[in-house]
Amino acid sequence: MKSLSKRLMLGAVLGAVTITGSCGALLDFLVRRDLVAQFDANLLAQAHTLGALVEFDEDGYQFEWDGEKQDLPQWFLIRQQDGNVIAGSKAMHRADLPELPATDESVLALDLPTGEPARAVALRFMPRIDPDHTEPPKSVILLLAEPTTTLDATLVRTRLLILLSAAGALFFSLVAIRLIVPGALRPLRDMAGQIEGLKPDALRPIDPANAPRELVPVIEQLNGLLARMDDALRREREFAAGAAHELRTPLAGIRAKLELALSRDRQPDEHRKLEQSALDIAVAMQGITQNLLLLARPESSDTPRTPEQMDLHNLLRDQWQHFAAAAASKNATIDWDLRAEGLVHADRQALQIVISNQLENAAEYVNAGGSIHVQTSNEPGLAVLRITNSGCHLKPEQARRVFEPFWRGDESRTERAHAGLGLAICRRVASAIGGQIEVVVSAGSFTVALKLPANV
Amino acid sequence: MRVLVVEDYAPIRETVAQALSEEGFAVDVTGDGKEGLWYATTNPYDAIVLDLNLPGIGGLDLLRQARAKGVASHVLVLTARDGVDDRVKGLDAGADDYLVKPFAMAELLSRIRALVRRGYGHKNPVIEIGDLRIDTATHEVRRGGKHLELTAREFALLEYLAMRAGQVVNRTDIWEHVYDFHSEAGSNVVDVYIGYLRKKLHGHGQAPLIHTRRGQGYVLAEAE
Repeated sequence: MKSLSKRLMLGAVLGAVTITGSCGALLDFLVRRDLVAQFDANLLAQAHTLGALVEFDEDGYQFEWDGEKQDLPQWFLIRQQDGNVIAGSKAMHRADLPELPATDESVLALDLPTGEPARAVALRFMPRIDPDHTEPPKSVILLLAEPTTTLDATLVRTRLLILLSAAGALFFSLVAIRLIVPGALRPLRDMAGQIEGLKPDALRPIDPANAPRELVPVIEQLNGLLARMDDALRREREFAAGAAHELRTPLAGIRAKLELALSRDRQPDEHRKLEQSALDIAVAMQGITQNLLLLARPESSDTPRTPEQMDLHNLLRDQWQHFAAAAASKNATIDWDLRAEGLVHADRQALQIVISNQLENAAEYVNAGGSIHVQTSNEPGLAVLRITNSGCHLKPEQARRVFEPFWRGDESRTERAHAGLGLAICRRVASAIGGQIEVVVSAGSFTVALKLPANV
Repeated sequence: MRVLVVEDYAPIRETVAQALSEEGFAVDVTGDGKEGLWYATTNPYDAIVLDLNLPGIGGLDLLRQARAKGVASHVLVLTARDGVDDRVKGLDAGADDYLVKPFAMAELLSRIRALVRRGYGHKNPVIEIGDLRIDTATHEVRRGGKHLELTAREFALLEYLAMRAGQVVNRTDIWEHVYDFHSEAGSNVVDVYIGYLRKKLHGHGQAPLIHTRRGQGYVLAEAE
């Protein structure tokens, strides 16, 4: 059932029908039982009255009926045990009346020979005794029947009345339900209205103060979601602003180079120099946009690619070739402390990105005459790579900020293609291959630790 | 006119320096904030191009410190941020103008020229002394309606004299405003170029415009 309103109404209607139905039936049953009981009581009283008129004296069983004072019931029979009739109504033909099974004063329904429905009772009793007569009498049997036509008519009328009342009650219940239920559901529409008013740049929480108790958990969860969305949108905006900022500078460089090239007549080699510079910047921008796109995608889309057996130590030495010259030009030294089990199980490209980044950072930020330390080791279940460079100007509290996109320690811009994104990317890539990156700043040195699950 | 460029992003730094230089400005460059502050407090620049994202001290801090130390040069701030907040911050810190990257080089140059004019109290980019007409924007020079061809250095010298037309300009002033840090020094250089300029301006018997004040310097004016 797709509609809350229909659900409620259906439930209420079924409830109303069931209640009015059962109440009506119960009422009908009780009324019927009551009236029948009354009828039976009357019948029984009549039977006792009749029975009291039977006397046993020296002439036998007598029926002392004062014809003037009382009317005799239409259907009755009093007989001796052997079947001799003591008294009876004209209408009663003993042979036609079915034998009543019990003589214990229980009233039973039967059909009269005329076809009318009736109720009858059979009594076995001892007649009054003439005190002078010594012979004890035998008990006699009294049969009394009364047509129930009137009773039945009353019952039918009553049943009809009950039915009409129930129907009426049901009808008005339905009307009431139809009117009340949608109204009761208005808070839902109100809430929908409040949510409609929210805009991406105005995700105010909904006030649960006036809401019905049942909606409060929903509102609280919704507010939690809105807060998370707001936060995500804010971070997205900040990222977009940061990205635009990062791209503006190289763009300005390209524009400046090309405008200069065109600003006057120049020699071909001067043209070449300027155009080459513009091209170099454009290529660097490609790297930046690539990184930006990677970071802009949701983390759920970072598919771990195909892991393979990688020799960590070989990869380290290979990648270092790219940066050795830069370090050497600063008279910085590098030492290798490779004590781990060299093999790891990871995606080649991902591992290369992370390691290349770490080594490049080290070579870039090491101070003149400083040192770079590359260490691999094993911890339980992990292969750990630590790359440390001296010459770090960050404070220890700033260590965790290095992962923020676009954040730079000294607000300057270097000419690398990374735009302050290097470690943000490393962290994403590392986590996509099941690893972790941590940064420690202490005593002027900067350490990046990459922890990977050991050979699976 | 002498300009200082403080910008750490090399492609922009080099290109702006070259463009200014080709326009006839004497240009000093640096990519470092501390060095930029030193330059600014040491020399009387006619304009300073300052990037806000600098290593060492940031651009805003450099600006505040420079102003606090009495640097009166006009400053044009360059930045990739264009929020109103940042514009307000830059101008309130003491900048005279603001340009957002990426920018058109032509716009940078004309804003610098405007800052220079302001520095000398000139509203009109065209300076006229007698029948000498100097268009500081197009670098066109005419005497008596006739076009004069000057080299970049000659024009720079003439422009400076014209900006201070009627005032006596000594050699030190000329040296500091028409030559940059890397120019080859020589007490003669100024005199030699004044000679070249005189020849072009009134070498064919026209009324002299550049007059010598013995012991003081030179002045560009109509006949004494």
